[in-house]
Amino acid sequence: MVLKLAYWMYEGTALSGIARVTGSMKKIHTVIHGPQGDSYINVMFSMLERFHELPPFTLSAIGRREMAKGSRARLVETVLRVDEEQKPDVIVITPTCSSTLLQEDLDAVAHTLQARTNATLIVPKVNAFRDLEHYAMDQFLTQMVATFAEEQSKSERFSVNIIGPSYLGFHQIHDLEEIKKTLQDLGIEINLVVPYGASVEALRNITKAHLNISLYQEYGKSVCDYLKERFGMDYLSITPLGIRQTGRFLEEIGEKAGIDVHAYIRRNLSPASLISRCVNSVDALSSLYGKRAVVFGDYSHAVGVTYLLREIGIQVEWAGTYMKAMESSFKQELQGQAKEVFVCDDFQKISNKIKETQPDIVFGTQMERHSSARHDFPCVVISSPAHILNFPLHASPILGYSGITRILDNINGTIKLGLEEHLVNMFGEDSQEEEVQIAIAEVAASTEKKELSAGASEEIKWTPDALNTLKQIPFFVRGKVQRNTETYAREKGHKEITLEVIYAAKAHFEK
Amino acid sequence: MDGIQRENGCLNTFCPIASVAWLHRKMKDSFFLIVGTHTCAHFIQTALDVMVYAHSRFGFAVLEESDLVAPSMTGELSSVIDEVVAEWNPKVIFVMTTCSVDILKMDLEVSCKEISKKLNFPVLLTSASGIDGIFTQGEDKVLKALLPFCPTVEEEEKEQSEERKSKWFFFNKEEEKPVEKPKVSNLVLVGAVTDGTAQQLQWELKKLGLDKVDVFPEGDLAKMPVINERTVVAPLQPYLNDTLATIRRERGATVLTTLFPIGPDGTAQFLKDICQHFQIDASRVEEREKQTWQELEPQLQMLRGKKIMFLGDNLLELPLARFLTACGVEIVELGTPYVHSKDMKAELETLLAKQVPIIEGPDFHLQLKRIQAYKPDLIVTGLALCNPLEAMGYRTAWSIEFTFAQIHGFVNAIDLIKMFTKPLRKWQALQEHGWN
Repeated sequence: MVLKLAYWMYEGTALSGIARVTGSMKKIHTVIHGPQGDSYINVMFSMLERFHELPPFTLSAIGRREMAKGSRARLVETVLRVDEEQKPDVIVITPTCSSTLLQEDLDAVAHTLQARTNATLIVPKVNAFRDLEHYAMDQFLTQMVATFAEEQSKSERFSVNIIGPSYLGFHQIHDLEEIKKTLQDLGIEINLVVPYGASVEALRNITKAHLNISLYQEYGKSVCDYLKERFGMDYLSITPLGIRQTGRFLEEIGEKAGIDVHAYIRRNLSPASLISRCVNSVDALSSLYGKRAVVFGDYSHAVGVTYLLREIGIQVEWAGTYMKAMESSFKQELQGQAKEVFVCDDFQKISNKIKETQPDIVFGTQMERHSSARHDFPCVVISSPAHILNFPLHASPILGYSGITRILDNINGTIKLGLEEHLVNMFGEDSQEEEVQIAIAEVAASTEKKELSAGASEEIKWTPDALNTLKQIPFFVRGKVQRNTETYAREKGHKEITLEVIYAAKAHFEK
Repeated sequence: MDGIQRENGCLNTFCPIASVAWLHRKMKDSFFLIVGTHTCAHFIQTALDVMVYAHSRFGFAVLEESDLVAPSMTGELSSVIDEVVAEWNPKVIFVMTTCSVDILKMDLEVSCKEISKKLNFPVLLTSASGIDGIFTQGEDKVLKALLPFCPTVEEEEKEQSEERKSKWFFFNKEEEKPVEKPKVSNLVLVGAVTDGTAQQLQWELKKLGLDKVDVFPEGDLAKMPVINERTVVAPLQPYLNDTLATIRRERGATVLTTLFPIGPDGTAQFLKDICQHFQIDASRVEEREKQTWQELEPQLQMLRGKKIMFLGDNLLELPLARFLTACGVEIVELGTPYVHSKDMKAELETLLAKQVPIIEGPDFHLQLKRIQAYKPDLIVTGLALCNPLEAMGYRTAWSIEFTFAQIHGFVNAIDLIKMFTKPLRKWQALQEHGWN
């Protein structure tokens, strides 16, 4: 074993990858074979995706007793109960990082149990200890498709399968809506989306489509390769992010479907279009053109956003991805697009690199948002790792033409706009933060003053204990607490504020 | 103990590494190094939402596969710790081991001692394995690791004896006068509560005549209180069983059997039992309790007669349910991961006297059926279950909020009770706008 220091992780675990696949599908229940804490997967679904139903994951816990006497009995009991109560089509039995270390043969358990369950039992063929989220998704999606896909006659009209969208991805459900709308506008049917919303029954019919479209580069391509090899299905693997890639995406689909997509592209990029009016606006001359940006994220978003930034006149100082396994294709893809192209999964290093580069704007993950805030750089979040803020309620795709408008809006909301920048450069800042700083300074000063003027006659005195308590209160409510307590003390005729007065004032105001 | 049912569950809870969320804020100049897998880091990052502290004094030593299984982890651990020291310059490092370390049967004790010696500051080993613990129990392990920093002798006594040893030739005359210090017992409140909470309890006790009340742990290693055979320990949190057992065994201190100072009823009993032990007048306590209940009255009106169910999560369930019964709430089921009959004795007696159904390690799937039968007005449970239960038409309170809020003592009682009434008020408010 080798130890490696990490503060934050860019990619999730194999378990989270498998859960994203199974949790996105219909009538599939996952039995997680691991210690207590591994049921955190449920929290991700119920909190980030705001699940209104119980997330389809059940833990078969490995506790002290299972460590001593073996975990098989508990696993069997859990699987049988899930089968009986949930009646799923498939039960996926998955190990976790730590249970992988037990080196149990889950395949053998599933094999003997299969005779006793209605559901099909599947054990993911991944190494839950070693593999990471996207690789596990890629492998497991392929395994699921390979298990259920059957030879079917093609649909009458040209139809496609969309491969990629899943829960807990970065705006992926929003992307799906955008792609659906685009395909509908072009008159192309969707046969199936995988894994989001797919059932086992639907997987059986996956071969009805004429074309597979893999939306993201991190996973999904293996499914396409499998379907091409086994069933001769054609596929394309382009992430439609930015003007050029969206155009390429549409053109290739058009070519395969025998549809002319150029009118559609023109409509979205004509001088009358919103995108064009924004990018060509004279205001953008100073707000976008020549700005120095840095880009970091997963593969698809780092590549796509780098293209887009170049397309709207922003200079990309460097572009990086944490997808280490995709290093060579990343470098090849972005060669010449940014001054430096690299692969790195160390959060601290990226943070330092941002600081050294001093960019005008940062495009990164939620972690780069933090790093940027620390060094006071504006930041637009364009990739996982995500945060609850990346699960917005209103339509917010990253892909397609709507994705471009959304990113432009985000840039405008993040950096200083043209005229604004001129004014600030000429006359200096007059920001709210300054006011907040002043307010803090005032509270601090008056607190200090109280401390010094312990002998003054008119002011209400604070005893050292009480003053200490006041200082423990977070600064943003401290002023209010101070005022309330003093008002209360005056009303009650206290000459001195003691702990007793503070506590009584609290009770008084919070009743 | 009789009257407690047992099931084989309570699995929707966090593992003990989650306790870094509050412990790294409590312990000054510390660093928490979690030795575990990728999952540990991913869990803390995604489920606990501690990304608010993006640059925090905790990190992960992630186990990675290699062809060789090292005979000793000292070298590996040491180089990770060197990185931590370079970045943070901590005064103490807590090495928290996890399930994987447990499963691999790795023993890091010798390594930690060696590194500690090399760096000349404490590198403390604590187990945060989820194999046999839930998230609040991480605090128990850390407090236990901190116990050696509690002196057994008063500082003055020690100084005097040391002075005598080193400077005996200067202070010959004073040496002739034997210093007789009265051997008094000290009171130590045990639990990693906020400074504000500790101060409130110290203030209540001061009003009763106990001037010197210590708290364990202090945020500073150098300021840990004396714990010896004359010490009286009053536990503040219900999940500190290992720490308390060690205090009993190694220090011979008296651990009070009383209610936890949560809610006016619990706080009153807690203070009364301390007073009784120190033989001081406790008559003021009743007045404080009465006054606090009066302050809670508007909230109480909302709670009386309501049915509340605990699904079990953070081990605070017993004191919280006991407080609620005092508020006139009917506890339809008190699920809790684990019942320590010795350290929970007073709570258990109070609850069982009121026939509150207690279930240790409740099975959620059975609970789901019971929820439908009980139709509780409020369900207290973990983050994994709140939203789905809300969608089923139940009101919920996040149990983790009780871990992260200041709920001890008389002064905080109002905040505590509002954590139960707020979801009910929210529901009422939404209903008035047509939601149901």
